[in-house]
Amino acid sequence: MNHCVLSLQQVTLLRSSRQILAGVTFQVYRGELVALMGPSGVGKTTMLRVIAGLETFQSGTVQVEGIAINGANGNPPARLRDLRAKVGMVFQFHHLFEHLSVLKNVWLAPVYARGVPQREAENRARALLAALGVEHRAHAFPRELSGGEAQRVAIARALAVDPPVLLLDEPTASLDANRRAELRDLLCGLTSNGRTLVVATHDEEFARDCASRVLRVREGSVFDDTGIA
Amino acid sequence: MKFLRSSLRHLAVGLVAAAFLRTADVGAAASAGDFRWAGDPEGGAPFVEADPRQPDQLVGFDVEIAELIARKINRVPRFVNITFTSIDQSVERGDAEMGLSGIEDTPARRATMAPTIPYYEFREVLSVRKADRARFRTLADLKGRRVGTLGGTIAYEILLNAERDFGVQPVSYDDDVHPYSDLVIGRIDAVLLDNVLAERRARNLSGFAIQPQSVAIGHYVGILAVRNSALRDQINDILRTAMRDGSLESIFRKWRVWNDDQPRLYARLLAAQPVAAVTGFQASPMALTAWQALLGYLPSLLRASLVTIVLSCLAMFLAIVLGVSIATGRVYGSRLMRSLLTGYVELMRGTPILLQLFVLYYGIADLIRLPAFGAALLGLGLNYAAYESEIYRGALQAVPVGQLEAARILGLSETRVLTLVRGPLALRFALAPMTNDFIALLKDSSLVSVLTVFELTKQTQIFATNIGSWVIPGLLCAALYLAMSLPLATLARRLEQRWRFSTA
Repeated sequence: MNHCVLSLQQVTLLRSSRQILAGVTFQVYRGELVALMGPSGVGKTTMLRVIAGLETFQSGTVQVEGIAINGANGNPPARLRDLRAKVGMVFQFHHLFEHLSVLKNVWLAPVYARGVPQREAENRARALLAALGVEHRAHAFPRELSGGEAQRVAIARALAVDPPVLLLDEPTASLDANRRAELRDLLCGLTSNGRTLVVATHDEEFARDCASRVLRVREGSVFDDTGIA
Repeated sequence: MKFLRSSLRHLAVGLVAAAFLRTADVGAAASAGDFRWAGDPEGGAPFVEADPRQPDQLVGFDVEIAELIARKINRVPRFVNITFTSIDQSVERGDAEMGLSGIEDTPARRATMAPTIPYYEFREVLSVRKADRARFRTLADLKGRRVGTLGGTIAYEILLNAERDFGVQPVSYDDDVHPYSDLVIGRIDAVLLDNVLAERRARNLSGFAIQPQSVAIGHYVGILAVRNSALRDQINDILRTAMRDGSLESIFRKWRVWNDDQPRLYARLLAAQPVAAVTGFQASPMALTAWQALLGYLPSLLRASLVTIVLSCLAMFLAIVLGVSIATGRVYGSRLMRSLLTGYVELMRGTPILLQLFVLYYGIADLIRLPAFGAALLGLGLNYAAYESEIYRGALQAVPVGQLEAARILGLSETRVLTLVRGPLALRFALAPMTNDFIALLKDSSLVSVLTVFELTKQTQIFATNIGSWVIPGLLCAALYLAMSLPLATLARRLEQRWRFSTA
């Protein structure tokens, strides 16, 4: 049907002889919002990290927009950089750069990784912050933000380099019901222009309301919920 | 290297001697039959020296005079090892009854201590490189030139006067060997010191000549505390007898320093004629009040503080630049680079900074002739770089991995991750230990006085020696160091507050 943006093929990851991922295989198509569902500790976060090129794994292949990394041998740094250019990530604890203002957190990568002129990057950063409703915090430092604000800034930072695939790790963990509804609208809006989202969550309600497809994760393997292959 | 070896040998011999002799002191401290006398074996032959063949034995004419005195008062001589510039204070506080180590008779000593009658007359003579024999005959010929001497001596005071009168640049040394070696290699243009010292150096170092015309005439005396005046009078009688019966002459002949000046001096002393402390030079009148002395020394103390702060800031800058490079190399470099840098760090922090300064200034002088300030800057900078690098290495490794991953996932190269995220965050961890190190460096900078750099502690020591008290100079010196370190500590605290991390 649609264009396959992201695929994992038999990905196995061992950490000090404990199996974290046991031959994970799934595909994600353009414009989907896929929820990786499951209780804590089953390997959801590790899957996101594998897709982002932050984990080395023992076997299998990860492919994002035609860039493949595999587990057998080490991957050249240039390939990892190419992969990361396709993927954005919003961490559970956001990891905003603590020494930089909100605005600079957002324009840093466009300028220093993509070579966008600073003025242009700053303007775009302001626009992104405005779209996410946190432009009034542009000059604040991460330590001064609430959990919800920090998350929006982290999303803005990830979107600033315009990745075709955006990964979010437990985005509802620190939000109340109202904020959760806002986040759902926000994420759905993000998929409308062809961006693909993969969200790791243990929040059933959020997954039901929000995801176009739910993948169940159990003991390091993925089971399709909906029958879409 | 020869000079370094010789000074190291002196140092080693001195240390061994000191260890043995100190033990002897302690063991005998209770005995009332001891005659405790203070000297500095680093001054070397022919005054007081550890016997090169038997380092636990002292030899020298001062040693023999002390033995002579002890014998006459039926006591056992016990040597107390005291740094030359501290002998006065040490005698004053009772560590020893008499100081005897080529100590000069000065009006200040006559006013504050109980010196013996002079037992030897010396001339302050100018030594110059052989090629300069014709053009540098007197201090007046040395306008704008660097002239070295031992700090805290009459010769140094003469040079301070010559600085005012002729524009000579005085250079103060802590020992009497390096002025001559620096003269020969051209770091300084002349040395003003006692003829005894000059002639001794001339025997084993060629390349310089002693000008025949003496600049001033001085005398060696023993010094006692004023409360020991009775003992001093007894010692004076012993010295007069020794002048009469030729025992002093035979001691000085043995050490090859007997000359025609001595019989003339003895004749005047035995005829009870007055002998001026110093002739040919108007020594600063003693009995300056502490307040006058303070006013007199304040400008030079402030100048010395400036040297201290400028040197410390530049050395810290060098240490930071090198330290950051070393730390980066140790975190990111290849295995070979990592082990080389680790070797450097261990070498620099595992050996005394004093040794490193000596090697830089004197040790490699045959290869690279660094100016004193340059060697001091380099020595402090290279040494502190090792400590700084460890701070930065720890700080780099303390940056949360989440921050690094966030930067990597945004597509920043490893270099950008380091310069934009990891480095700036590490700096925040490093700030407090860096401040600590800078303050330590500020104080360690006092070590560079061994390279003739005139900084605050050295200037204070001279001040204290000249007025014979450490109270005011010590307080003033402490105040100046605090005035330099406290603003820095405050600045660092402010920065830390501004950079405070979220604790979430």
